[in-house]
Amino acid sequence: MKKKSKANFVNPFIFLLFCIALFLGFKINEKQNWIQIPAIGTWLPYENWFQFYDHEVSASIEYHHLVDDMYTNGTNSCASLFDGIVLKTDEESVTVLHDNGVLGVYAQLEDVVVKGDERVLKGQSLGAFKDSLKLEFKKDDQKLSYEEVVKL
Amino acid sequence: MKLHFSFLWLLFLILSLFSHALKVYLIIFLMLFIHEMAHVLMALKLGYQVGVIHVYPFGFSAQIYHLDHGQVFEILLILFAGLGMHLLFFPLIEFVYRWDMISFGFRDYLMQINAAILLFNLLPLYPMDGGRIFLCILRFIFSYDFSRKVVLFFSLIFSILLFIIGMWNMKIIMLFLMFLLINEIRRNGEDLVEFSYRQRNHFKLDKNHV
Repeated sequence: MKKKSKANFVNPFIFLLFCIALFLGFKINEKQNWIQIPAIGTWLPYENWFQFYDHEVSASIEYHHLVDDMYTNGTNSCASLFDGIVLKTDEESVTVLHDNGVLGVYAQLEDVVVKGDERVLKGQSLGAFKDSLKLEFKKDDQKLSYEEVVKL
Repeated sequence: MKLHFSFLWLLFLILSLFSHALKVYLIIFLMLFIHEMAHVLMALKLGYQVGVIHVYPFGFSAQIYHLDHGQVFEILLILFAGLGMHLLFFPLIEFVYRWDMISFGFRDYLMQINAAILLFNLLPLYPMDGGRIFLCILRFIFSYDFSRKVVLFFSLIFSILLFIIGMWNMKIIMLFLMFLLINEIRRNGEDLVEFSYRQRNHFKLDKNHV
């Protein structure tokens, strides 16, 4: 005999409480920095199981120092230095939290081609710049130079 | 039909929230959900009973009772209903990009993820979709008993190989698969009895209908 199945979902009240607890925990952790979250690329399902993206092609990303925090790479395309996630964007800058824990700000761009919360891979274009762009890096609240970052 | 969320899934949800990857993870999760729901809906349409739907970090697993004991064409319809969803995702992702909801780079990324999910599901490992398709193909030529033994043996060898060469998240799922496979091998005799029983009853049912 075929019987019609009835859906039996998780108790919505418990699920709501769980979400609130999760949100509060997340916000407190952001302030207190208690838990260091593992790099996204190591746990995100399906991303690297078949090694779809080619690191060798994008291994040649290189910026040349001009003056202060200003850099150029011989093209007009601003490429992400490592895999990461876009934290925020505005009209002329992109902030990326890289998988190695480095927070990178790619600023003074003419055009931004990524959106917030999107995953970016090493070498992927974040936007375009005219003559030079501003690069700023931070890790554990310590400012790092481009030269220090590429050695990580 | 019940939904059961695994502890690992909750862990992944928390990880994605803490690492600002919630949007990415939820999109992947949505793809996996639609994939599984297509299996479930097709199975219900064809008269199969559905038990618990387990939610794991790497996907869903719907308990469709006696799926392997049905007609081969029915099984293939159920399997390809889920896999076919991924072929629809490609143009869907393109549309979402054209509507300016995602960037070009993220569109590429989602296309790759979609292809990876499809490819992973097509691996000839029982009890994944590819393994079941492999079983159906063998059933066209050999008996159910022999086909099942071949598929289980092949799946075990292949999963051990992937466990050795795979990355840590692949190792976890291969370990889980090996556990399932050993369980399936142990209950091989029981399954054969169930299969014969279902086949006999199916014929009786058909006669009654006529």
